[in-house]
Amino acid sequence: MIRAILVVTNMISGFILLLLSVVWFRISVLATLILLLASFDQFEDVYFYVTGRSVFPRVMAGLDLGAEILQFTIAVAIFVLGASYVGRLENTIMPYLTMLAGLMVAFSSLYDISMIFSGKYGYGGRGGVLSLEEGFKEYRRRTLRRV
Amino acid sequence: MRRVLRSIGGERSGGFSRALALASAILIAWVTLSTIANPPTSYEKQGVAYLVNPPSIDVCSKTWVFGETTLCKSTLSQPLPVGVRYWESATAFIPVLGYGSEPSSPDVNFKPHGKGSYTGQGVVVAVVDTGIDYMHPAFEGDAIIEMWTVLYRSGESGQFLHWVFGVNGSMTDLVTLDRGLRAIHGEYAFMDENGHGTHVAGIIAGRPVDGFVGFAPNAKLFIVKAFLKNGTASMDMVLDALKIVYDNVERLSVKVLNLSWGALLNSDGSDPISVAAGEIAKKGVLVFAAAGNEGNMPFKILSPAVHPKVLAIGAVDPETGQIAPFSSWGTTVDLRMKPDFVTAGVSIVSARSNASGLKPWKGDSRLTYLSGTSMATAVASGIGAEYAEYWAMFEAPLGRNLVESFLKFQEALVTRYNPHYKDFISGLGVLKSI
Repeated sequence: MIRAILVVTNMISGFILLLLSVVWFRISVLATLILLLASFDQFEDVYFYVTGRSVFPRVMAGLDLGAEILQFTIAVAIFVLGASYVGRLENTIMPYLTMLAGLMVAFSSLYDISMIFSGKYGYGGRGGVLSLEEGFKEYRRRTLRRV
Repeated sequence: MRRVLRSIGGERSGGFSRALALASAILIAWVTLSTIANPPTSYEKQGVAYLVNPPSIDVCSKTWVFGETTLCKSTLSQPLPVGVRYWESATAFIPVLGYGSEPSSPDVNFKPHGKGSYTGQGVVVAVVDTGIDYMHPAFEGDAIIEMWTVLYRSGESGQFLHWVFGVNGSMTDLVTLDRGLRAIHGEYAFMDENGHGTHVAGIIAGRPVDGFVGFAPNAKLFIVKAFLKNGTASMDMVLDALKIVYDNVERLSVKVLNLSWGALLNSDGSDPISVAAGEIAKKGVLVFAAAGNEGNMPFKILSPAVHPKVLAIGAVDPETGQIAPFSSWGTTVDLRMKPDFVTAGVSIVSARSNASGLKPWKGDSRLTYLSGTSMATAVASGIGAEYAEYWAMFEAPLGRNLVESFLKFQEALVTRYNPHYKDFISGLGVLKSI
């Protein structure tokens, strides 16, 4: 079940980021590239949750993390936008839908961040860790062993 | 590298297909982005186009000079050089943006009313619209200092017809002239047969009528009629009107310009109307333009409101505090946050032109109600006129710029809908009257 939710949320946030990257092209090519990377990262996460394999090699984990943090920032902005217009628009559903979209994107980014630190790059076994708690436990265990 | 390729391709079969799919996706993204970034700009068909700073003045059949910027109307018989941006005249039948709508409750209407501390004393507000009912009691006395029209030119000087009260003759002379032109050509020179311009001017600087008073009742009006009685104008007419304002900014000390109209040109602010309005704003004038009545949909900000220096105004229902369902949303096509502000724009009661067919308010033929971002823009202009009086007393002596000072004041005091950032629905928030 959790896997299905993760696939859906990652797909949605991937499309939102892709859309943002396209519309930002006229203003800043650099911003477009960053957003495109973040978008690609979401689709990569979908691939990961479906197949259990990561497209990014282990050395690119930092880049993956950066893209997820960017996605979380955008998620907060989307949530704030929706919350600001509750009761302020004739269309009452739209602000709630916007807030929901913000929450989905935020959840997706937070979960993906947890995966980066747990199973995604081989710390916890290939595709084997899909629980936040287990992932962090594994991460802590390995970090402590290294220390 | 081999490791990266292996990870993309996977350890089993199908690596080549995955790589092919990735390459295709990159190619599609690249073509999409290139098309958005470089829209075709060469003019390949014959017709009429408007250009900003044309490469050669020879292609222009008419020009408008705004300082260092030249706007050009070009009747094209041959293609323009690639890279020259143009706007077709066909897209530029520009409407005014107010329409009659019954107030939800007959007793609750937004009365345009400043707080009273500042009344626009000594401030000149330019209004480019459908003219004005200069005989209306809301504009008695010296409310109107000058009226211009782009519909008629003087036979002797070739200048656009204009009327200066107390210089060109009496009110009877004006009425005779206006009625004569209407009888011959079908359009008044100055009188507002549409009703939009009178309503807008009443919101800004109407003197008291039956308990209703404009935001800045001591401000003076500089009226430029650019719109026909059906409420539309061509690009030429609008540019002519803006040129009149531009040329008279210093002479009349114009501090506020109200533009309650617009055209949906999907512009990034580089179209001729926006550039012309922007040039006026660069002279230190507060330029307010209607965001548009295109509905709660993104990317619907009209020109000239899209210009960075022009303040785009959206509408809210003062009764409910909700964003009006007709009010256009940003962003601009180049993703700048517009509108800049919102303010009351639903069921606004103001002066009714006697020559118009607008429905009287509660049987009072001197008042009527209209809704639209036009009305919101007029409210903003009234607030701007109030602020301009304050600025002249306290800020100008310190050498501060009117526009910057106004923005700083509003940024600090607006009622924000989105408390964290300027967004594409309400901009910075609801304008504050001083």
